[in-house]
Amino acid sequence: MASTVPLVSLKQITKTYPGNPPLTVLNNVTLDIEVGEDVAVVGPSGSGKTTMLSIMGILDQPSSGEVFIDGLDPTDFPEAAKARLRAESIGFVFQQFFLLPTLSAWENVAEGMLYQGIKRATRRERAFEALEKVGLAPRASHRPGQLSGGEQQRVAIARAIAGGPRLLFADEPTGALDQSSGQLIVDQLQSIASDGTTVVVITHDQGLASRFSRQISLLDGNVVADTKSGEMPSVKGLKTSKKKPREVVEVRDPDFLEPPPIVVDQSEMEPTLDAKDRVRQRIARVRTQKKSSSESMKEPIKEVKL
Amino acid sequence: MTTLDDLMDQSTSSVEETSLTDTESESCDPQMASDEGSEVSVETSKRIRLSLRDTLATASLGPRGRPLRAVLSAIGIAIGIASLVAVIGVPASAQAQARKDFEAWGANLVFVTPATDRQTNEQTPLPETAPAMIERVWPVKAVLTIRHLPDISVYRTDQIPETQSKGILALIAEGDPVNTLGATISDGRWFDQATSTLPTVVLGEYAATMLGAEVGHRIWIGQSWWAVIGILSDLPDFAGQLQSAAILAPLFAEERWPDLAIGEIMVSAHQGKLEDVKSVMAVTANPANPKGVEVNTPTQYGWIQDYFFQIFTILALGLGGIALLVGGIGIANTMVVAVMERRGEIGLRRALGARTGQIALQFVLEAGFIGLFGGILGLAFGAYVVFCITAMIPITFAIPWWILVAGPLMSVVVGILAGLYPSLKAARQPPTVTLRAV
Repeated sequence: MASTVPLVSLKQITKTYPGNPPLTVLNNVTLDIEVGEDVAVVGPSGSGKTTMLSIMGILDQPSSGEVFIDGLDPTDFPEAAKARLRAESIGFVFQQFFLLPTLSAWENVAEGMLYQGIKRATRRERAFEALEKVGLAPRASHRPGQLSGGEQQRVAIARAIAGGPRLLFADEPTGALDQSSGQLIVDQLQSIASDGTTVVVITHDQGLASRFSRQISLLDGNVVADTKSGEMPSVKGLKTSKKKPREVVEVRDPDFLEPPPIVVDQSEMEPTLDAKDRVRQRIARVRTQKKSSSESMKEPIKEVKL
Repeated sequence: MTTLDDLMDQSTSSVEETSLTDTESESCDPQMASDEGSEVSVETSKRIRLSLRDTLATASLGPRGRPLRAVLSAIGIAIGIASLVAVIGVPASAQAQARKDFEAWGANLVFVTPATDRQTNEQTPLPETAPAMIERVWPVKAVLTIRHLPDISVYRTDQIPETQSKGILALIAEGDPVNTLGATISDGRWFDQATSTLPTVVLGEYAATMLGAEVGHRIWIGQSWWAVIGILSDLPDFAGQLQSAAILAPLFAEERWPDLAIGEIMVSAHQGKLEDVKSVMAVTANPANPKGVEVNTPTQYGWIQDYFFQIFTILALGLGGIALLVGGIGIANTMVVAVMERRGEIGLRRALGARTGQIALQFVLEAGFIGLFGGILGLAFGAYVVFCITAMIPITFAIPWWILVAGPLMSVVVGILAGLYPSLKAARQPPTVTLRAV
């Protein structure tokens, strides 16, 4: 990575909506996202995922704390500067696609570059290039109503990447799609990430999240787990070692360490477990792995898809 | 190209500084984002302006997406404009017809005659120079000088008894009856240099009928034969004496009956200049003795019609204004609904980098489009209503030219005003709220 400064950095971000009583959606969240990372943010509804994405995407402001993008806090930027930053450096993909029904696929993609000041002919050219990337060039002249849900979302992805953003935020991009379409969308997002764009995806789907190299778990406005693939797990101060497979689990909520974790076998996991239970299971699994690895390194630990 | 560091420097320095640079526009390098290295690429805090074409294209998305709703909203405005056009157009048509009628009656005529002294009961003759002097007055359109032959009767043949003159007058008319009175020569011709020196006569339409004479016939006037060379028709009511007159060739008649005084000068004024002409006639006709000149106009209808037209115009503006207000409320309602329905699009545009002003402009222009469409529709419909009414009565079809410009212009203004509040409301919604609301 060329830059040592995180591309996105949240420092003790709290977001509280006024009311009686006030609703705190994000509570003292701190995290960094490096350039080129592909990150999945998971958590149940109401955990603050979308709010966190909105703050990272400069669509919303935190109640307290600081947001840094490329080392600078855009919170105090004038509205025009924020708008331009969004236009030129950030791409968004939403669950509802938000395609304009009267425009064709390529026109919708070109609309994504409208506020960048790019000339019409260039917008058209780049729109077709973006559609080519997502495999929808043959459907360029079709309107959203003539496309399937998955195709519409791919058009939305093309719209998000056509302007060449360095950051791509996707809020439940597979939420309105069937499983196969969702897999295709994740493939597209990972392909974009492999090209160097930093991708942050919000999803409920643990299976889809596990395909990203980093997973951040949110619960009740707190980051309860931040997991990266390819590193030794660490729990509350344990050192990581690159010699050890496979995950790093950083637990920031002490409530999840008490009472002592219950070890659950993978085969016994209930599909309806809530996120808290999943995190507990993961902690237990990591501890089990640590214990077994200290005794014997003979058997590799199987990856658990939650 | 600068980076976020520069952007931060500018943004933290002062808002005023930013606002100064906001007025500038620029075009981004299309490859900028992709060519940039590891830093987030934002050049400056200068605003990126959309081109006119992009602005209009964006504003037309709403009506294109929901054409029926746009048309129905536009109909509200159209009714207002149509009412305005109809309420102004019908009286304007009536006024045009009245003008035409008044002209037919001779409403633009001024009659200059010798005044009669009330004490001596004698008339002061008009100077022979009077017709030429009057003709030089600018608002005067044309002049016709009449000299009466009171003791001369007109007969079809010399065999008709003197007592059966049928009241047909003999007179001499010098000038142009076509331009002065709006009359037509239905048959034959008016006097020229040749025929005015010969015993020729032009008959009024009524006189020709009474005599049973046609062009080419001879009639008996003053114990001699005169050849009929023309029939004068379509004379205004106020010049009715010519209808039943035999108009003799001026040069030949004056040679035969010399020293005939000017009996009357008919002066035709240009439209709207009747009073101006009337006011200078006495001095012009007889500068030495203006009091010896009597000046009359057939009627004061010209003033009356203007008065009524003013009343109708005020009434039209009142009714049209109410109709426009109703249409404007319709557009406002449509725009409020559109803003509510399109919160997702608004949020998306904010996420794509649209500023609040650009969002507001999009919806304001959209409302303006609906207004303009309604205005043109209303103009056409209103004109059709006026056409139908004027065809039924029937009167002359006339619509003031200014309504053709003012109608659509007013509808655009009403549309924009109606769309202003919903547009500002749309622009001020936080993107997170609009995106979440979908």
